Amino acid sequence: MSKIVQVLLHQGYGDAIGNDCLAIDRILRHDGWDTGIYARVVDKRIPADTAKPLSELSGLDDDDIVLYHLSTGTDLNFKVSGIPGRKVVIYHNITPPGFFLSPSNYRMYKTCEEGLFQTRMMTGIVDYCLADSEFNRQELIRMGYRCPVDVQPILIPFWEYDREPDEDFMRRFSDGKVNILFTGRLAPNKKQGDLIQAFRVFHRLVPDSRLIIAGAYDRSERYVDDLIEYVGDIGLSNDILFTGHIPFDKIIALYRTASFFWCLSEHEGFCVPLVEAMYFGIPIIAYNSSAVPETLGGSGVLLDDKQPELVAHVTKALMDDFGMRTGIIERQWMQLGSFSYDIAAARFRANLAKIIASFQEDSR
Amino acid sequence: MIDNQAVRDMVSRVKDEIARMPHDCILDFDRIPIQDMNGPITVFSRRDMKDAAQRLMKSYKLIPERDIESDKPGMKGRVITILKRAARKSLRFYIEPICEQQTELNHLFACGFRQFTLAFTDMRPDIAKMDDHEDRIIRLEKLAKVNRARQGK
Repeated sequence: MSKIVQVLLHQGYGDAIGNDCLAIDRILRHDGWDTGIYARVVDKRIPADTAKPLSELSGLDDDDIVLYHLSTGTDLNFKVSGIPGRKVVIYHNITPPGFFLSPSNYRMYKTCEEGLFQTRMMTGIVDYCLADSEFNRQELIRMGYRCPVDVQPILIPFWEYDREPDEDFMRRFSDGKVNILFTGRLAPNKKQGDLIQAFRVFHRLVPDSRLIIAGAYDRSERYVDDLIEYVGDIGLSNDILFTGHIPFDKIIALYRTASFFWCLSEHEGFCVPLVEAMYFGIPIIAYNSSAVPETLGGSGVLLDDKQPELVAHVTKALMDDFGMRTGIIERQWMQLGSFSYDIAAARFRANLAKIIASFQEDSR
Repeated sequence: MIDNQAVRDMVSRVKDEIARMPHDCILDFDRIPIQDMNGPITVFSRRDMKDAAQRLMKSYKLIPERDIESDKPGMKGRVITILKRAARKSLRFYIEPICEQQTELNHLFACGFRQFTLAFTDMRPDIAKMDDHEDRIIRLEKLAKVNRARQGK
């Protein structure tokens, strides 16, 4: 085998999967592999020589390796079987369609449903799997994958977070208010509605506070309209901010000025924002679901119940207890070590060596 | 360095404190549970209530004079239509104030209903507190009754 290529639907700029793909590409190039990223859609901000359109993928042999990033429902999930080479799926998780059970979310419902169906159908064409987390690994095994499945945490380029934050945002959110942050696309599985309810209680306890819900949203989804309308109805439009999609330097400014990070999501395959919050030393209060406890690894505050009063009062208790707060941040720092770029890169190299050894054994 | 147990202890302490607090009910952002006295909980969709309020706001106005036509064909139909229109116009002086009065009433109701749906989320904690007060008053009344009975003895 002489070539290892990465194939994915969308090579985005600044998103977790896009970053993971670029980081793997960097490692493969560094190690001298003939490699490339091929995507059906390539973000314009990605340098031209980094990722190429999928149509340009050619010259693969049957013993080359195709790393396929699987995260959604698309016909590419089936078409990837037509690409020559041994297939390694890097599974980033697909949200259960049940979260999108409403007429306005039918498109998302179908995409996720098809994604899970396609993932089950792909068991026969995949030679090896890598999953972002143990949670994702178990999901693949439940779906019938009998090939080897290893855990490969997402490669997070932490040096990107040391960039200069947006000055305007820094000024705006360093006004002495308690900033509660959540970052992530507005989606029913991420339960931003629960964040708002918890903040409603917290705001009564600490009136000088604001909730910042940072993440892209699509106004065609009724969930988004409902959230925005609800915030207006309860009279917190000035204290709850929906940023929509914002540039990376503004996200850094939000992390730098955040007092607490809340995550009440009910489905996460890994949850990169938790690791980002660890990096910026923000105490995390999260709901115990899916891969969240695994990513937290015993750090942060993990709640088995997301009753709004509990979330709000636990946050207030942390606000008032400096020792507890700093202790939690210290534990988060320790957990962050297990996601360091060097450790994740070493794990990727070890996984790749296992994959190659397994393929060589097969071909004997 | 704090350990996991310390965090768990803190969370259970907060849980206990919350359990002791008067139940300050927070609503699900989409569902509104309403419980009758000792009755079943009915769940209304916030969205449905708001839709109903919007429909009310759009349709509360009564129009005293509507365009009417007769179903009868030909000349006969045209004559009936003219007569009906004339009758409507001649009765307008009587109908219009009634319509205005009814419209005003409908408007008040529609506004009230809209206000209710908007304010309901804020009312729930107060309702819960009122329930608490009611319970306390009943208990105090019982206590007073017992005391009076003792003094009587």
